[in-house]
Amino acid sequence: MRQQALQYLRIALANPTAEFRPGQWECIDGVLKNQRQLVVQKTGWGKSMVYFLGTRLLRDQGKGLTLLISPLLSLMRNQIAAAGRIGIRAATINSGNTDEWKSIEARLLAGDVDVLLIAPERLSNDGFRDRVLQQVANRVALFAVDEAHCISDWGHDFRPDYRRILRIVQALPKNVPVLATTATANNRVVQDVAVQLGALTVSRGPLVRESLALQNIWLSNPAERMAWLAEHLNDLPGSGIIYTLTIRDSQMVTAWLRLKGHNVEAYNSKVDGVGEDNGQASGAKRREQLEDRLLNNQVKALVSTVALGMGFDKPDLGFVVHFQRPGSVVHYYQQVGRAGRAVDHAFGIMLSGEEDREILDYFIVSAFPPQAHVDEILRALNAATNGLSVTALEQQLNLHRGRIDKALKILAAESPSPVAKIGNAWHATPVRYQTDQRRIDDLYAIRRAEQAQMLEYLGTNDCLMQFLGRALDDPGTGACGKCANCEGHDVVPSSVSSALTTEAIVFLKRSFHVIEPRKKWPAKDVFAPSVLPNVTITEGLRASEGRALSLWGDPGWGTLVRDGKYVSGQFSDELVEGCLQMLKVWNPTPTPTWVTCIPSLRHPNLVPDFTCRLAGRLGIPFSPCVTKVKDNSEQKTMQNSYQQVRNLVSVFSVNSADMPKGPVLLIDDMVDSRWTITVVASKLRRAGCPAVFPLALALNSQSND
Amino acid sequence: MTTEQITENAKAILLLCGRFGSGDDGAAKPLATKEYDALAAWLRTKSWWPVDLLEQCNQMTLQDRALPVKRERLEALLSRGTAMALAVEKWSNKGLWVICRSDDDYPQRLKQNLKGNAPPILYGAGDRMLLSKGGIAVVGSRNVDTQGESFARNLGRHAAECGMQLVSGAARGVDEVAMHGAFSAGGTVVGVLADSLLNSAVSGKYREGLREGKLTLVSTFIPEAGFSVGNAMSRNKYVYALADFAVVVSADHKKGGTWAGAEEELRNKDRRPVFVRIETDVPRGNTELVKKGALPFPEVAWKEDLGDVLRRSSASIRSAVEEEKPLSLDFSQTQLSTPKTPNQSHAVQEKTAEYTLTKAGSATVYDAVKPIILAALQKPMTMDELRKTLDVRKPQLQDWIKTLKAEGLVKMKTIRKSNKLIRVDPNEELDL
Repeated sequence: MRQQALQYLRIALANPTAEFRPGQWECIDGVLKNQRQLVVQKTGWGKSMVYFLGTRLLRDQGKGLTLLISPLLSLMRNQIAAAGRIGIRAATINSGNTDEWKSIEARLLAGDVDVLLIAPERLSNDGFRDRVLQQVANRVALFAVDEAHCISDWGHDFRPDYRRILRIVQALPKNVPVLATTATANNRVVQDVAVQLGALTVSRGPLVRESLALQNIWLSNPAERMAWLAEHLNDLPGSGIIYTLTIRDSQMVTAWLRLKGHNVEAYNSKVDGVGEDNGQASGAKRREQLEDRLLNNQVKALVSTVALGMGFDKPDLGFVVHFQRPGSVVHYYQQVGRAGRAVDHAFGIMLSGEEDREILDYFIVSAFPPQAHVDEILRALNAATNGLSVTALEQQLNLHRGRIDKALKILAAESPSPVAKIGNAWHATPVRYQTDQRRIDDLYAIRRAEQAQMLEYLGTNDCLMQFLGRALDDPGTGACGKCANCEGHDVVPSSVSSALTTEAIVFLKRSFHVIEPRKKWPAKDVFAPSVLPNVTITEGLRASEGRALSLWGDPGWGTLVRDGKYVSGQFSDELVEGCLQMLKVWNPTPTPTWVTCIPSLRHPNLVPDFTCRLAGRLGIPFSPCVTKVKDNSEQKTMQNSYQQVRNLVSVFSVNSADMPKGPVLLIDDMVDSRWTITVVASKLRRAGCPAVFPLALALNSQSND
Repeated sequence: MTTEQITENAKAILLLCGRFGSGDDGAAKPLATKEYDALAAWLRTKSWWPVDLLEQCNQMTLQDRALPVKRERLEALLSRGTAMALAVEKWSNKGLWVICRSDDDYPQRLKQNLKGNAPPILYGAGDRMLLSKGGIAVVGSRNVDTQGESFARNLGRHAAECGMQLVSGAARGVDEVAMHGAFSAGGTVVGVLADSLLNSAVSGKYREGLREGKLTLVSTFIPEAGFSVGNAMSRNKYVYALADFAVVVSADHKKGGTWAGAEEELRNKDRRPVFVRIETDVPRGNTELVKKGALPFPEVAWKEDLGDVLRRSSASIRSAVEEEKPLSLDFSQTQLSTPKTPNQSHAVQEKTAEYTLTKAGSATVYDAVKPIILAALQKPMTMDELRKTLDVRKPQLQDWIKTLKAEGLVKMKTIRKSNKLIRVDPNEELDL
């Protein structure tokens, strides 16, 4: 059998003298013997070859297909080619290719698929499971789970979807072989995963990358790090990845580097199809294109969030730079380890600054829904006889829709779960449920300890690779002799040009942000008795696209806006000038002929004072024709669209008699949910205003992350 | 239940009998109860457990001619592992559980009362211990008059007050009214569903009772199953089997599920005492059931302890039923209902042996000698040793042993290099 497998290996690799990597054959043999295995090997070891050869040999025995659960979006082209050479046909089902599902389903039922790749979150979707998966599951001969470390609570990357995968594995009878793989996990995680899966065999290889030269650089201000990137990106060999913690930074750093003449692209989960290559491509297709461009060295770098990660395999990746410090050593190793697989020299540079901690803390705290939210949701579901939709929950509870979704997702992954989605409605189940607060507290403590370890990594004088190896329990890691600490000097210059830093600050001050107009009310009866009856906000009642000068608290204008609102009580003339510049670039058409603002009873002069000065500089009249006729709760305490709009009902009035003719610029200091400007704009439009252009000093959108 | 708690044997039974998706028909048609029971008997002859099938699946051993299920079908069923795991995970995620005939907490009374018809798989929600508590089954039609309705409600309440559990079909009409009565007095209820277990378990009307341990829902059909008349009818026998007594509140004559269920139970040799409401203006079915052997519900039961009265009233029936039992049935039944401690089980078997001997005249010689052989095999013996002990000709003994093996009562085992006959532990049988 080994000989047969070796032959297949050689055909697949199109290399007649290829041999198994250490551990590969043992792993395939385990599959044929129906074993449950956990395989810990660094990326590039050849996990995919184990899936393919295992599947081939099972198929030869007349067995069914392989179900591979993996967060990677699709197999890399070279992998598909290798599989194809031994007659293995792979298909992928994920949220990005819904248009292909029908044809894939047909191929599955016809037995024309040998490896079915599905994303983990598909298993949390009961509809998909019933409709698609259950129909082909009768024929699954190998159950494979990639990135299996996500199963562990202790893991750096625990995902609720993996809880259900774990339960499925536990329910599998022993005549179905299970192959769980991961590229990174320390001893504690490996043991935890092995025990939970009931894995009999654990195979583990070395993790250290010999060609990688590591260095850490502390630059407190993001502008300095942007300057560093602009100056030194071309010092780094080949193509690489720049990791940012947030989507917004991925976009911002990309825009900056492109401005400075670098060939880079943003890559994140919000990348949409509006690329230069193909305007119609969906986000997933666009990401695939971007991956291809990196694979083919057509870009210097992708500026990416963690979205570019699992399964991405480019053996000649020349560098990985972190714009901010990641949350844990495991994360860091996993990301930096993508560089230098098959080249002699590669670089792993970790930049780090002041805002890292704040962002990481936010990630930690928002990982679990607060108990109060869980209680509220369960109370509402328990009071319902036949379940509630998420929209109905929004109407009953003052909770952000995203938070409701998140809480339900985490609750639904518990087993047994206190909630169940049947059709479109969520129901309370008969399960007695108590949040395991200790488990959550323990997890928080682990996350904080992981963060502390990253700080230690940042400051250590030891060999950096050795530090990572020790933290990952990789036995026998010696000093690498390549990193900045081993060398005793920078491997890449850590200097930053002050001229470039100034330029980066100016760039940030010119990074204006689009305020998209809202097009739908959150529910049909939101203004009952009805003044605005439809769910759709008709064209004639909509705002036009607006602009915000800054992001709340950002290093460009953001801090000035914050000072104006909470320290000095007045927005400075600098901000007026900033808005003038922005308007020049923006050039809203038809050109506004007058200015008005959102009134406030709490700060009656703050925004009108600013608006008045701006109108003066623009040389057009300021008409305070919007008035607040009813005091309401602070809009920022409203947590979801329904509550936010309900809170605005009958609050504003437009005095149409005083209203000048022509398009208007509608000023507010901060824009968050956009409901206030949406409601006021619709009233202005009803009063006959031909176009309303919202302009805000700052956009506050934590939820946009 | 979490999926971790499902035993390997239960997984095997689920593979054999469970339905997990639309691909279930065709080559991999799940085994019906009777088919499973035949397979279980075959497994016993091999001294195998259901889980052993998973390992034998690829091997020649399945080419046994006596295998009661086609080998291809068996293999197709057993290769549904992932489909089974997905379904079971989904059910357990929603707070439902699955119990198989091999599980320790499978309700013994179902095995005792239904024998080979005991369903291989039970799906349910709530405290599964309630399934072993017995109680009173209150049955009747969906469309019931106010007199019948108040009888059902009062009976549910009275049972609860007397500490007696209610077993119900959980349908509209009599079932539901009796359940309300029981709940109102703080009693426990077992609801035997014919459909929609999943939807029922999350519905507002049952959720609280399930959570508080006052209600257990159980079904032999998968949790997603929709309503079907056939399923509703076949559910009746489980309602009776889970109870100690049954009371028919209202039955149409010769039609409807209540009549059919009651008639079926009355035909059952080993039946529960069936009482029927006899008042003025009861439906004709009620009075007709009395002619078929049901007892009028005693008026005195309202004033005294319900359990005591029903036990007293049915004592005469019980002994009559005992008398009628044919011997062979008696034997297997003793085995099936044997308690789990080995000493006791021996004691019971000795007794059976005596009993059978005294009545040997009415049965075959094999029936008569079977207990004697089994008694002799308290300790393992070679064929020769056994022949000497029993003082019988070898060919004759070989015939009997062959039959005993086929019935799964004895088997060959190699002990210290010699082939000995041993008795198959009756507990093993219980567990399949």
